[in-house]
Amino acid sequence: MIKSFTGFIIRHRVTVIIVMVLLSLFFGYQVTRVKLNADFSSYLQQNNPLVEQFNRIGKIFAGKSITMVLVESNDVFSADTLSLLKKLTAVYENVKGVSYVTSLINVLDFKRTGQGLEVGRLLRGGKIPDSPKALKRFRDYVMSNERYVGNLVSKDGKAAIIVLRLSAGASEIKVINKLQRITDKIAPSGDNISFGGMPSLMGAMTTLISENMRILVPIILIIIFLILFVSFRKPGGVLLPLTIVILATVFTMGLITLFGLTIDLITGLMPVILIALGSADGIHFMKRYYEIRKSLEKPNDAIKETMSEMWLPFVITTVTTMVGFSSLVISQFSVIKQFGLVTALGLFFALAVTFTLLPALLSFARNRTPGPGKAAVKNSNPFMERAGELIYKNRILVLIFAMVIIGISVAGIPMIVKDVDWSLCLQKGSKAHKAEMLLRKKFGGSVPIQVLVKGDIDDPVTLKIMRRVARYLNTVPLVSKSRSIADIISEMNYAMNGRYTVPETRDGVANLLFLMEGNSLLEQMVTSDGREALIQGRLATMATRPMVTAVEQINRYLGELPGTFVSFDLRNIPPVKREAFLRIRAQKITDSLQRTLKARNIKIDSSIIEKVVNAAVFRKKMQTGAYSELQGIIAGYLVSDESDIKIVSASGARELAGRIVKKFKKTRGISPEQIASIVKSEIPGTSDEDAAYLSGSLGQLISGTAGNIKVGAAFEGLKKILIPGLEENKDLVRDLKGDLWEMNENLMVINREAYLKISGGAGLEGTREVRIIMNQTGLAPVLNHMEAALAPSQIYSMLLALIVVILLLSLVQRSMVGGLISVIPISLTILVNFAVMGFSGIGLDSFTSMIASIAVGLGIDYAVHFTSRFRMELYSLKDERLALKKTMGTTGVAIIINALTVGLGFTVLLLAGGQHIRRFGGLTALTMFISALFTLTVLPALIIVFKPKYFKKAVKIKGDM
Amino acid sequence: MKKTAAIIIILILTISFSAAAEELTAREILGKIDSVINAPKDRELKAKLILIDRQGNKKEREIVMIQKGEKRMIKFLSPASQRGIAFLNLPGNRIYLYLPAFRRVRRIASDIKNRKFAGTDFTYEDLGNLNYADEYDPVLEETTGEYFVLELKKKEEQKKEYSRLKIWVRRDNFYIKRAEYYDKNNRLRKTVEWKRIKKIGNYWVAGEIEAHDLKNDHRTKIILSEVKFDTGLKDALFTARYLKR
Repeated sequence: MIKSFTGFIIRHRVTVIIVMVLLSLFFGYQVTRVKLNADFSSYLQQNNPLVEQFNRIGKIFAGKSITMVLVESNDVFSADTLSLLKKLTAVYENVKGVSYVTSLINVLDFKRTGQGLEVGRLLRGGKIPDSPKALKRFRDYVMSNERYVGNLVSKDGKAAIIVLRLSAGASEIKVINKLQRITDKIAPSGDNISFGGMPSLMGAMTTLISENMRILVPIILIIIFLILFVSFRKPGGVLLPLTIVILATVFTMGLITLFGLTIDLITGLMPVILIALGSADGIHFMKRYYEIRKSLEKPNDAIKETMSEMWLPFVITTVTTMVGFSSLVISQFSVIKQFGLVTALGLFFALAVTFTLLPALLSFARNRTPGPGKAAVKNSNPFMERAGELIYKNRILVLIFAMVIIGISVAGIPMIVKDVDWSLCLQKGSKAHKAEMLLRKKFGGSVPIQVLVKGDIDDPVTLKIMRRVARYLNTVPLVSKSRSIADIISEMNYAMNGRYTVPETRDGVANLLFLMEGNSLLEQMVTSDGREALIQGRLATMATRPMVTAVEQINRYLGELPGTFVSFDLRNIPPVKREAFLRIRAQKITDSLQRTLKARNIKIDSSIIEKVVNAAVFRKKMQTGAYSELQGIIAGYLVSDESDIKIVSASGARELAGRIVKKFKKTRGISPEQIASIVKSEIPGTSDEDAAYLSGSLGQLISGTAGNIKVGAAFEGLKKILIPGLEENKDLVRDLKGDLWEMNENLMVINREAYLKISGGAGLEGTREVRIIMNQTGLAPVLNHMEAALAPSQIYSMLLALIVVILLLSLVQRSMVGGLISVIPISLTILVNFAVMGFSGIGLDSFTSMIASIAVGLGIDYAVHFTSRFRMELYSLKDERLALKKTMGTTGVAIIINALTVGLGFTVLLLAGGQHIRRFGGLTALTMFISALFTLTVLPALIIVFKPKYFKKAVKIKGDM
Repeated sequence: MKKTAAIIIILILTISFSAAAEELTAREILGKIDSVINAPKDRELKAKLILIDRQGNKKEREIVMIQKGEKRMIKFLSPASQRGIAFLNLPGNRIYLYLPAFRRVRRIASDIKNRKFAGTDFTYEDLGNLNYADEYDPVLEETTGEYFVLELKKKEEQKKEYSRLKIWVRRDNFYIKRAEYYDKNNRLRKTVEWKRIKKIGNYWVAGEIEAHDLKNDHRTKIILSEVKFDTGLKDALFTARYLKR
């Protein structure tokens, strides 16, 4: 049948060639339209719940990926650098696909200025200070603010970053390239500007791969050319296999574009791999063709003969290799799936071209006089025959040798590191790599850490819990800069009221949020319906292992948080029970202080802090001097423009203030009603309305001032136990005082269980339950999950490939033993591959995990060709020793050529930019060589020892010949 | 008295000049626009603000505004969470903010005037009385049957979010019908449309103003529900003390 098919092809050879040329032109044109894709989230399996959530977050918070532009300079606060930052910020804002730009120029800043409040861009009016003095003022302000240092500008003032949020749905590589282009335009010498963050990393890697291909593809073609030339020394032997692989690659690349698929980080490797693999069929074909040709006159007869002999091994080897690649569909990475399927498709094309174009082209060969029949024997390689002899004699020794290898390999496997450092994908010493390291060192890294909060975000209870969580995150190793809307509100509260904490009332929160209405910062942190919010930090690593540790620690913490909190007004609690709550409060304040200190790497014994806090929380009276301070502040207010009743005389104001403070001191507090009655008796004729307004304002003023005085006193106590000089850190003081402020609050937030324990039989009466759901989201848990799934999924895909191959080979050989024996060389090879990884410390990542499956598909080819030839020789020679020698001398040589071509093809990847690709290339090449070695040693030894079914058949038909 | 006289004179001039409108220079037209806008001695109005985002989600706010010369106060009536929040604008770019939850009045930085007011697509300044002639250099681009089309370039010394405006001014009453705001890269960034322009008493007023921020695809409608002119607002209303009431 195959002979008549080949005959058909040869008869219509012109048509076949024309069709192939047309197809090449068509697909070749498609190749020119190929598109790159570097959007990391699209690399992941899309129906995974974590990925779905990640994508959803990107949509609702307007942008999921964060890219950072790093600007280095001797002094960020020079007019030149600031102008550059300003220019870049402005142009980036107008790039389509960029949803938010944040830099020192435009970041929202809240400033407390005497009686005033400033809400605006950090660089007011966007105007760069023009005098050295003004520049220094700006520098001093920024550098004293922790919100900016290490966040937008490095601590040494020599680097600044512009943070860009990319819109969901935009092609990231397009946006990154656009950003790069406009950056180059603004700063043509741009050595000091580099890009960081996952989108840039992916963009750099993908661009690198497509650039690499431009160099690697010609190199591999040259290598294959040389090997073919050395092996065959005939133009046909060189050109025909090359034509096949080139066509197969062009067809596949063209089809990728035609299907609307894109070239990504991994599919980008396909051309090199396909060229290396696709040459195998051609090599085996030509090898056998030249053997047969020697004894036949007409090329067409030789072609038909070769085809009829080789078609089955071709189909089997192609199918098994396709199985190896297709088994990658089990991967959690959609790009690996695509790579597997696309390469499998490419292999199919290689086979199709081998079956059609190759006979069509070969048929143009001239007739020749056939040599003597023995020429075929001569064609066998004597050296390899001797090797076959040697193996035949020492087959038991060979098997023992195999056992030893298994032993050593098994020892190495547990040593495999499961660690993927994505930044390794960048070439060491490259600009991108340096930028990544700098971002890590000076800006807390570029990987976002995110916690999604579901609940009533406008509720002070929710916000207070959010702040607590954000501060916890900052104590997790490698995590820093965690913030949420609760921190922004605290900051505004500080600017407005002097306390760095979330206000106790809903109105307070709403009033502060009003200041941010319409600001884009808000959209990045809270959904417009106020039901969901994001806490975001930075992670200073791209390596899986520390990432896993951080992600798991955060998940544990979030898991332990109660889903429901109870909030109530402490004033409504009977004094007997109040004390128990106050003890909890003191404990909570201690924890907050401890966290604030820990996030800055300051370690102080909890018990010492607790003592200070307890003293403050349970203190009944303010210190002497505090009351006259309070009186002065009230009097000052009464004579100000803001006072609800105009009081002209300073002495009158002092007198009224004195009476109010006296009452306050006596009853340890004062209500607005009490103030109103004092006001009315002190200023006769005051209307009820005026008195109510004034007492309302004074009530707030008094509680605020008294609170500040108490916090001040407690802070003095804290200062004594802190390292001297620490109080010069203004932000630290602000934070610590903000933590201490909690002791003044009437609102108490507590776990439901803890509340019930204290309240006893009273139940939850008079309290409010607040439900808050928090989940970690973002890239880190996604990567974490993917990497956790890597090892199992890689084992599954490898096993799947092995099983399919065993079944296939058993069927073809009609022998289960034969099938099992055939996969032993490749199984050994995989063991050795893992052992090499274990011993040399090469981590199991998305690239290296593909090797096993690919190796099954590739390495099995050698076994197939070997077994097929051996069976044929056994049938004709009826002697296992001679059959082995002949097989080694012929197909053995082809296998070596094949392994050299494919192996060296993969070796080309050692020249690639990224370390991960180099490792992948090196390991796969090694796998090919080892696999060939085992096929030529262990496989014959096994066949001879175990004698599969076809042995008997060969012996049986011996008499018939 | 002086101001009333000035207004009468302006009105007479407006009527007499409109006959020969084609011969007006750009600068003269701009002067007329300013005098129409600033014609009332004081005003008191109530309005609804409707904020519409990209997805079509709507938020509503209700405000009252009183204005007398350069003094202006805006107070929020609703939603409940914003009730009582108030801004006071005094001459010399002094702006005060009152947050009722804290019962405190704070002065806020003056550069707020060039930024969006309370999540709307109007700047704080847009809501006040503008004096175009002080801030822009006009060029008359076109005169159509209904409108003068002017191009306004921001004066060098002015700090503005937008560097160029194109306005359509009604020829019959010098009331602006439409404005387009361009940034320094000459990109159209915002449009404002004055609708339902009618005469109340002696003054022209738009019943509805709609702004559209093209970059964020965000819209704001101001719907006037009540307006009173020349009621003789007292200066005491424009104080920190009154801001809290």
